Amino acid sequence: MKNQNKKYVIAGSLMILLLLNACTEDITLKLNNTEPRLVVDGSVSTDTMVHFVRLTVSADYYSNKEPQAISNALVTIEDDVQKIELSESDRYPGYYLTPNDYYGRVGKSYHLTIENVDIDNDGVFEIYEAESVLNSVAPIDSVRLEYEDTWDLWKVLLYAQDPVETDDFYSFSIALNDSSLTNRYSELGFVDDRFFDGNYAAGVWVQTIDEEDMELELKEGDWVKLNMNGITEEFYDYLVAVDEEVSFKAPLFSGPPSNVKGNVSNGALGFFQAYSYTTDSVQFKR
Amino acid sequence: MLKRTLLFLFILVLAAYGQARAEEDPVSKDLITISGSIKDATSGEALIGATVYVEETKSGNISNLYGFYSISLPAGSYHLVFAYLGYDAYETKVELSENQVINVELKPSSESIDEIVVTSERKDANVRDPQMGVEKLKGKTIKNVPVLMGETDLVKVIQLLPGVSPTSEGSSGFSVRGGNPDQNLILLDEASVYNAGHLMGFFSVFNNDAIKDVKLYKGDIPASNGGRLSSLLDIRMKDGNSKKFSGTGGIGTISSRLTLEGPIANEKTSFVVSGRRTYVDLFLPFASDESVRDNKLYFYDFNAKVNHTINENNRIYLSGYFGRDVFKNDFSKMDFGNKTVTFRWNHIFSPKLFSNFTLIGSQYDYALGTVEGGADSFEWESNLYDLSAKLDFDYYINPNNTVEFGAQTIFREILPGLARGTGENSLYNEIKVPENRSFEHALYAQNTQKISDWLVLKYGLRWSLFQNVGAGTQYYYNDNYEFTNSERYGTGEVYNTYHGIEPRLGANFIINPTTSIKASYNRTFQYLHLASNSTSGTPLDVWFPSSPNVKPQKADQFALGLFRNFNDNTIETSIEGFYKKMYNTIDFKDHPELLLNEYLEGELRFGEAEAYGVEMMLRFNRPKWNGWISYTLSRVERTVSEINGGKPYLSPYDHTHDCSIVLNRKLSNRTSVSANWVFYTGAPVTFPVGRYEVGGDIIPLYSERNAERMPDYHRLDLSLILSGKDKPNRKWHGEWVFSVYNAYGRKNAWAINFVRDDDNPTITKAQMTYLFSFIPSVTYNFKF
Repeated sequence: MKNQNKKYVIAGSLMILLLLNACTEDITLKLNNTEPRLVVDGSVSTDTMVHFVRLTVSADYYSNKEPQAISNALVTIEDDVQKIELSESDRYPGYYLTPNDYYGRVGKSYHLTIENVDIDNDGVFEIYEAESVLNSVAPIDSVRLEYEDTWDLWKVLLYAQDPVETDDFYSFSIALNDSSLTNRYSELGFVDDRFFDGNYAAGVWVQTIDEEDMELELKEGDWVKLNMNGITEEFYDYLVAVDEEVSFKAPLFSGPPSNVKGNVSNGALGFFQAYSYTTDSVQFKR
Repeated sequence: MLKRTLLFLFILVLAAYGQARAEEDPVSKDLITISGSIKDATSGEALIGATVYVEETKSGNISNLYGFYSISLPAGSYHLVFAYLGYDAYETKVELSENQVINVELKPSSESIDEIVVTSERKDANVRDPQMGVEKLKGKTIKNVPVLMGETDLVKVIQLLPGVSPTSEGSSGFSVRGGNPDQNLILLDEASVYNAGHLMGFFSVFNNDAIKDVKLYKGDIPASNGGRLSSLLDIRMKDGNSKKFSGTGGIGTISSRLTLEGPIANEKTSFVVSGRRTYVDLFLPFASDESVRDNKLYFYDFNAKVNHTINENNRIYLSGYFGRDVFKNDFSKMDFGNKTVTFRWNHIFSPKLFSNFTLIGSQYDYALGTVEGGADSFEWESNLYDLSAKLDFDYYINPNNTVEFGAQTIFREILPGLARGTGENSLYNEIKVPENRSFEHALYAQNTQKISDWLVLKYGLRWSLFQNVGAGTQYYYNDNYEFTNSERYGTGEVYNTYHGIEPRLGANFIINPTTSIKASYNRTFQYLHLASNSTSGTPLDVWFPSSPNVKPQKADQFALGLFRNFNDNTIETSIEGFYKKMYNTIDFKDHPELLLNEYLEGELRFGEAEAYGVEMMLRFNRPKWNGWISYTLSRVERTVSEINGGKPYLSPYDHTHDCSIVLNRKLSNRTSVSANWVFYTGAPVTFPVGRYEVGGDIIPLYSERNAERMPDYHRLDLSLILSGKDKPNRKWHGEWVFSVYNAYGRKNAWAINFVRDDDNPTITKAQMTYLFSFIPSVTYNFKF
């Protein structure tokens, strides 16, 4: 609800800005640079598949190319039961993969260790660690699509029961005919159940298909798939911060920019998360 | 502690009185008092700060906020001169043998200086008054400064004064001497205005037609007021014309206004009502897009005041303000606004003792939500109100001592947020951030004492007491700002108390009739804070009181200034330096959640702030030319141990250089042109020093807080005023105002964003958003 509320405020403000005739243009600003830092981007979910941890380094703001991959690291993931070593992909340097029958279990804690890397080039290897608990998620009863004519978009509505007595955090991604429409963290929907703890979600707006914005057209018979993930509070906060840092900022409704706080030790950036996964689909009818 | 302070205040009043008695003892029993009121002859409005001057003794006094004056002299015959800038002086001869009441009405001078200017009441007031760091504006003088969309706005004029800057382009929020916007106490007829902005803050809530007098105290805040660290903006509404029925109004680019005032039955009672409404949305029904037609977007203001003179010694006033912004489309709705009510009773106990008793109520609330009744529809509201009683005395002991003393108590209740679902199968539980209740009490006394012809002292003390009171739930946190436990307190139970002694000291060394040096020291406490981490603020910001977790903010300010007038006081110059140290100031953790968060106090981080600077002012008031040039050089730094690694960082309100030029040239009796030019150093901001990719997003990497700056800001506004011909038997007087905001179309950055290129997502770039370039407007003003 927090993010929806924010959207209303922003929508209201933007309407006024429109009236006031605000304009935007690109400018050239000289920016300072800083030392590169390790960036960790990885996850473990309850889905049985190849999971990956991607290692890169941060770059100058105007570097304008794909981030530099960190190869030859020793990457392991450990829960109470087993410890596995991830192997670096041949085709995609910097991507460290689990076996394809790997999956996480609800209630377990996943510990990531990265060794054999020397980001600061001082000849001494550094060790980086991160840990995430895998929380449970309730099943989806059904999914529905509804047209919203003020903003010309399709709302993806969720029907599901939120468990009582637990603080639950969710993220939502969508796919159209099995091709993902949410390829960035900032495109995920995310909610925290403190406003509806233990209630039945009877058609709650959790994701959006904006045909114009996404450059697609929904056709009769298309399948829209909604994934609901049970995430940790820490990762929820991470998503909130990422969303703030990549969204439009203006004096009216934005605080000072600040670094997104990840969960990796030793000054590395990024996040290693564990989440549970549930999904349901709906066929599109106009 | 309480007892000691009370005793101290009592002694202070007594001492001033005693000393006054002692000084004049040989003649004191023979002193005779002249008192009365000073008013405008055409409207009957009380004149605030008009002077009474006794030629024989070369002494004098000024009228108070209600136009009352008092002066005591030995028996004899005297020439009294009553004067007020822009009015013909009135001279009279009195034979003094017993106490006398002399009520004076001054006529606006025909050779009226069309002051757009910040005026002093008395030509040399800026040199003679011990008060420093004060700026005065009159309602009728504000309107000639060209402003955005022709909406005359006192806050926008205040932002052109030295030491005052807007929080962001076009905003009605302002920062005084590097302070935060929530450190300004804004009073409308003594009622607190908690959110002074309309339309996301682009226009202030003050309808200029209803305003009589505006004073901004930038540091040397009188002991009679407190509760905020940085400044006091004291706005007084008109009392209403007691002589004849009259009206003023205007039709502008975005709004229209109408003010009516006049006597009721006879001169003893008069009223004023004033309204303003924007009409952008009146054109919406003509929109081609059907979904736009039902949209609502407007604001209105309504001011009303009535006063009645019961007899020589008693006068009562009742005034109110009601304003609201309404925004609605078929998706969401929002409305917010202030309400204030003030009841005052002036009572004159004796020619030397004037009192004013005030009852005040003020409210700010907002509501927003979705319109339809779906499962995730909701309503969300927040509400704040205060009730206050205030008793003030002006005691004119003798020509050399004027004591002000009094007491105030405020009860405040805040509902920070209540949200609930509105649909039939609503998803949402009711979420309520618990209400909080608090008291703020104060006692004060202040004496203005003329020690000799060259030295005037002003010394006062305010003692403030803050109490958190039940019914309420208080949350407690550990050292890591994590919630530990909550405690429920019963109705009327005081569970936390803070208090503080606030000295207010000033001295004026008069070197010669046109030159003086002033010094002041001030301490202020603030018990109410605003939860906003944006620089501009939104209508949704919530005020929160001090509590066991939030210590009151405290400031010590020192100022020293040189004041010099030239050319028969038509050119005033001043240079003032200030140093301000603030303690327990509030900032917020990274990515805080400030709305609808019951654990708000866990998002706060406390530190210190330091501001210092030099303000220069050159002001001229010539028959054809008037205006001012102001320049401020300053620096403001904050230090909070959890922010920026504990290193000092610049406040977002730090502008190294801040310069304003305001000019008004009278071309003929019916034509004048005005211009103002503003320049200030860009506000400190945080820019990225790198980027990294996680989850498909390119996330900026920052190093130090506020280490960079926005581009410098500058802007020129122009206006041309054409007045209609005055005909002897026509009451109607019209005037056209043509103005241009940002005449040379400077693209001032309002926001700088770092974004990904749409076509090539590996490219990131800086993007600037600017709001207003070259905005012309036309306004037609009238009066009858």
